[in-house]
Amino acid sequence: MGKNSVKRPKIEDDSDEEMEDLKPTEIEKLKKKYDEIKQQPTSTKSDFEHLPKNERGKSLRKALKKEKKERRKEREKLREQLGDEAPSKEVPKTIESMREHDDTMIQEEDEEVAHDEAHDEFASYFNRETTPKVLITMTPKAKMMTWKLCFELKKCIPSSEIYSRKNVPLKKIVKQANGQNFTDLIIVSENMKQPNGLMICHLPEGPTAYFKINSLTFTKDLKRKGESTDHFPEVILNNFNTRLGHSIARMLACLFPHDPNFKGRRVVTFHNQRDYIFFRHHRYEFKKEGEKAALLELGPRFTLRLKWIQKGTFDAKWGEFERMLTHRLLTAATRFQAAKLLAARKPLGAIPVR
Amino acid sequence: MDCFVGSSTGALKAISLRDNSFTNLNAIRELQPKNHEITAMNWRDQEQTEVLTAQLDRKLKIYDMKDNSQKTLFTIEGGSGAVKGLHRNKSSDSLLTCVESGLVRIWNGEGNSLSEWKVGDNIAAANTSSDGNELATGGMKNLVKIWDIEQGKQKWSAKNVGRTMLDLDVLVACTDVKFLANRDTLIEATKMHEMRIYDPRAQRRPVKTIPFMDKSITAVSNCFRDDHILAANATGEIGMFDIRAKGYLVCKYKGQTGSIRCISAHPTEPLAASCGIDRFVRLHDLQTKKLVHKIYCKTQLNRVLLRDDLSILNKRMKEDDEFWEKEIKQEEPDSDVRESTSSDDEGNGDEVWDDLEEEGGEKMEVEVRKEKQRKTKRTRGKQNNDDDGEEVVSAKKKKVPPSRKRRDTDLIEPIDAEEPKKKKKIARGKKRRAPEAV
Repeated sequence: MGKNSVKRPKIEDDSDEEMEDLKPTEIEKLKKKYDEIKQQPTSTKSDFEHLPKNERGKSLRKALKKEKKERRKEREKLREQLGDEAPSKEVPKTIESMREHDDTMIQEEDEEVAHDEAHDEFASYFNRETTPKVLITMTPKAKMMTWKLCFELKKCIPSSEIYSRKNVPLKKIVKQANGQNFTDLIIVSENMKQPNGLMICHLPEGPTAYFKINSLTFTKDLKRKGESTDHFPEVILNNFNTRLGHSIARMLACLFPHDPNFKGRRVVTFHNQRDYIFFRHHRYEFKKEGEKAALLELGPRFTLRLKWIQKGTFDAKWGEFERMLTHRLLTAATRFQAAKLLAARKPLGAIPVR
Repeated sequence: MDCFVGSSTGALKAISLRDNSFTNLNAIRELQPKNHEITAMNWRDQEQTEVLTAQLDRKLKIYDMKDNSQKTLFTIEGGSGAVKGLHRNKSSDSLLTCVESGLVRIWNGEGNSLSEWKVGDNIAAANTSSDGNELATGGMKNLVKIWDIEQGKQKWSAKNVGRTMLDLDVLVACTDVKFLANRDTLIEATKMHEMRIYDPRAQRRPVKTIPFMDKSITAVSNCFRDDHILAANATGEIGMFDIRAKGYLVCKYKGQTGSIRCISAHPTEPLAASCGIDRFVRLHDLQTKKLVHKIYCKTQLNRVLLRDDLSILNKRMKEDDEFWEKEIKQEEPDSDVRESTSSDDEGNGDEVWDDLEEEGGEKMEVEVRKEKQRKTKRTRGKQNNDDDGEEVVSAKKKKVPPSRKRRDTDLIEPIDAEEPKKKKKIARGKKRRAPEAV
C-alpha cells in the first residue's frame, strides 16, 4: 500500500500517455487478464508426490506462497498499465471487518455520550482530581500461583499494594479501602490452585467488573523477557469502541498513573478483539536512529473476558448488573463461528452438485 | 411521540416508535446528573399530553407535548431523599408526592401543601390505586402499607412472612408495590427474589408468593390482561406471570442485557416498554413474545412512560379500517356489478386464452389434452354441445392465477343457465337504485 501511494504520482504521468495509446478494447483485454490471473490454478498436493512424505507439506506451502507472490506482482503490473482504469482493490476480510453491527458504537463528537462520560464515576481521575492508588488482594487461602499473579500485577501497576485477604468479607474490604483513600480494588480469584478471574472495583462509587482470565503466561515462562522498571508506563487501549467498551477502557485506564515516564519506554497494552481483552506488557527500543522499534516483553501475558459489570461497589447479591454474560449474549459470537465454518467449507460447496 | 423516558443524567427523551428514534427535550450541556437525575415520572392529565418529572434536587417539572415547552412547577419540600412516588389526583387538580424519607404530601396546582403525613423510612415505591383513593407504600425494612389519601391514615399494614427453616427473620426489602388492575389485591416485588400478593380483605400475610430466578426483582407492572403481571429483575430478565393459580411463569422476554429499572405496559394492547441501565428502551409484543422495537438512548434510563395512543397502533388501525372499507365496498355492489361486467369479459377472456394456447410452446400437448377431453365428454353423455364442452373444460384446465381463477370458472361453467338471470338482476338493480338517487 505504502509503495503504491509513493509511486502513483510518477506513474500517473506515464499512464496518461499510455491512456492515449490504450484503446477501450485493449483495456478490456487487460481487465480480463487481470481476472484470469486471480483464477490461475495453483499447485496441488499431487505435484509433490515424488518427494518424501515429510517434505511434501512444507514444499507445497512454499510453492503456494511463491505463486501468490507472483500473481500479485503480475496484477500490480497490470494495474500500472491500466492506471485510472484499474479495477478497485478488494477489501481484505478480517475478523474486525466481519463484526456484527452494534448500535452503541461511539461516534465522534457525540455530545450526549461526552456529557455522560464527563459525569461518570471515572470523571474525577480524568479531571486529574485523584491519583490512582490500587489495592491488590486475592481469594481467601490463595495458593502460590495466585500470589505470583498478584506480584506480577504489582510489577505492572505502579502505586499498587498487595494485601493478604485473610478471610475478610469483600464488603468490609471495600469499606476499609474507601477509608484509606484507595481508588481501585483488584481481587484475583482462583480455582484449582490456578488464578482464573480478576475483579476490578472502582472506589468509592463503583462500578465493579469481573473478568475471566484465559491463557495466562507468567513472565518466567516467556521465551525472551526483560526486567521491569519503576517508570510509569504508557497505556494503550485498542478497539474499545462500543459504549460498554468505552467505560471498560476508562476503568482500566484508571489503574495507571497520569503522566507516563517516556524515558522508561514501558507500555501496557489492553487490546480488545471480539470482546476478548489481550493484556501485554512491553518495553520498546529504538533501532536505526529511531526509524524502527523493537519490542521486549516484560510479562505477564493474559486474556480477559468480561463476565459481568455491576453498578456500584461489590454487591453480588443485590447489585444492579449493567451487563451479564449469559448464553443468550453469546449468540453473536456463535453466529460468527458458524459463519467462519461456512466460509471454510466453501471450496467444497463450489463443486457443482447434480 | 409514543413514549417518554427519564434518564439518570437528567435528560428527558421522547421516543417515536415509528421512526425508531428519540429526541432530547432539554439541553444536554446544562444538565448536572447529581441534581437533575429524573427519579419519578407520571402523566399530568387524562389525555397524556403533559408529563410530570421529579428531579433529584426535588424540582418538579412539567413538559407539555402540545406546544413542546418545559417549565418548573415548584420544588417539593420537606423530608429528605429522592422523590419516589408522583401521582395526580384524578378528580381534583392536586398532586401527591412521596419522598424517600417517608413524607407524603398533597399539593395543589400552585405548589401549596394541602396535607402531609409520614409513612415510614426508606421508601422505595409509592403507588396509588386505580380509583385514586388509596396509596400503597413499601421500602427497605418497611412493610407494605395502604393509606387513605383523603384522611392521611393507615388503612392496612402487611405482616412479614414467617421465619425461615433456620428460625431466622426474612428481611423486609420491598422494591416495588403496585395495585393490581381491577382487583382489590396488591403485589410487592422484593430483593429476596420473590413477589408477594396481598389481599387486604383476607389477611395481613401474603396470599401468594411467586419466586423469580435468583436476583432481586426491580420492577413489576400490570399488563393488558388482568390475570397477568410483568416482573423484571436486576440481571435484565423480564417474565410474565399468571397470578390466578399458583402464579406460574408464562414466558420470559428476551433481548435485555442489564438491570431493568421500569416497565410500562399498555393497558389494552399487548405491548410493554422497559428501560434500564443497559441504555436501551425495548418494546415487546407480549403475545408473540417478540422484540418489536429497540432504541438506543445513550444514557442510563430510570423511568419510562408508554402512551395509550401509540403511533404504531394508529397505523395498524388505519390500515385495518381501509382494508375493511375496501372489502365492504367490494362485497356490497359487487354481487350485482361483477356479473354485469362479466358478460363483457366473457368473450374477451376466452379469446385471450385461445391466443395464449396458440402462443404456448406446448401446443401439441394442449391438442392431445383436448382430444382426451372430448373423449371423456362423449363418454359422459351428450348433454352439452361438443364445442361448448370443449371450451368449458379447456378453461378449467388452463393455468389461471388463483385470484382470477374463481371468478372465471364461476362465470364460465353455467353459461347457458345464467344468461337470462343476469339481465333480470341488472333490471332489479336499476329499479332499486332509481328511487335512492331521487
